[in-house]
Amino acid sequence: MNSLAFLNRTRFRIYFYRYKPFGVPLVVIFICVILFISVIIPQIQQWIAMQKEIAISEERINVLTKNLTFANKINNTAADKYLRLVTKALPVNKDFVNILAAINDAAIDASVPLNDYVFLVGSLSDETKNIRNTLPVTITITGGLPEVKRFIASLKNQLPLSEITDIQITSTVSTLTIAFYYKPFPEKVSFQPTRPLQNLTQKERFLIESLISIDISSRRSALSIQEQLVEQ
Amino acid sequence: MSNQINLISRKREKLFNRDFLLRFTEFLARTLLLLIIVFSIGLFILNKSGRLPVLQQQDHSITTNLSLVQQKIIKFLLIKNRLEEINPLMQNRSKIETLAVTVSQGIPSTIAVDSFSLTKGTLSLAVSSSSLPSIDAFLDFMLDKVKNKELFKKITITRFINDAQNGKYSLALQITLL
Repeated sequence: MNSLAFLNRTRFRIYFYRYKPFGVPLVVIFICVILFISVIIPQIQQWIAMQKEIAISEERINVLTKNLTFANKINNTAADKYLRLVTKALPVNKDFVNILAAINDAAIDASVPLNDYVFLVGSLSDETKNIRNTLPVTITITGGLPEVKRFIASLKNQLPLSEITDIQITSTVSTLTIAFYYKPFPEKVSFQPTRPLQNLTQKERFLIESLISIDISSRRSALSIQEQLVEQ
Repeated sequence: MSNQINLISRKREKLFNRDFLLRFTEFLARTLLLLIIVFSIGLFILNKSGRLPVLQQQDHSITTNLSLVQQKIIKFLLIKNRLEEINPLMQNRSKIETLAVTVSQGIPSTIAVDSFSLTKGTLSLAVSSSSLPSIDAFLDFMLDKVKNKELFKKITITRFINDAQNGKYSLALQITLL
């Protein structure tokens, strides 16, 4: 046992003196490896993550800039007028005043004597927010098919928008049921700055032009919109 | 003698030479140390001098500006929302007017409309005239609409009366709309 211990000590000394100069470089290599794993690799990962973040940020700024440019092009005065027009076409609630005015104006335009009308008002408070509602109005006019035809043509050029759902015509008196549409604004109109704003489509522009022509052709408070909603 | 019995080749002897190994280890240590320093400084500079803070500042500035014009954007979105709702109404509402126009176009002046009733896709029409050819022409006109699949799907004659005393013919039709 003792002889083995002597041999080991001797061997250790030999190795120690023989490999002593390797100590410092090996320690340096070891520290470098540790530093590479604990510092360099995380820094590289951080750099890659940052590059991704920069790309996302640039994309976001691009959309934000486009949205800002678009928003600056919106003509505020025209937007007010357009909003009034579309709300007049499809009111947010049961717009009795405009409905009566539309019926009256249609009768005057068509030269049709209006006898009486009945509103099926329904609930005034419990309105469903998400569906398009109708307010049925039954009117009686003096006249037959030609008068009804004129009245329908004239009512088509009135706002709020309506649809005739029932017609009963005799040779002297005709009864029409007209459904006037209304729909409340969505409870939450959210604008997400990162979602690109889309300009009005061709179809929507055409629709607005149709509404303007209807409104102008009606005798009441024509909006006469001259400005464009979004400047070019 | 000792040289003759050494089985390790010269080259291999040189490779395992202590001095050579020491020089190689020192070289490796220096190189690694240099690389670590260069990488650390380089990556530190790259990470610190990135464009991210500038972009974040730009983002904040644009978002602030957008919040100033948010009112206009909300109005615009409301207009779009209304237009989406109005579009189907405008497309569907012309049917009845077209129907009234079509029917009245086919009615000769010698025919009187006694009743015209439109309820839930069914049109009930009663006409009368003293002229049988006029009634025939009107009926032909209506049947053509069914054949051409214009507005009408089906026409049923529900009544035809010949009032000989008054010299008047009455026709009642029930029309299913397309």
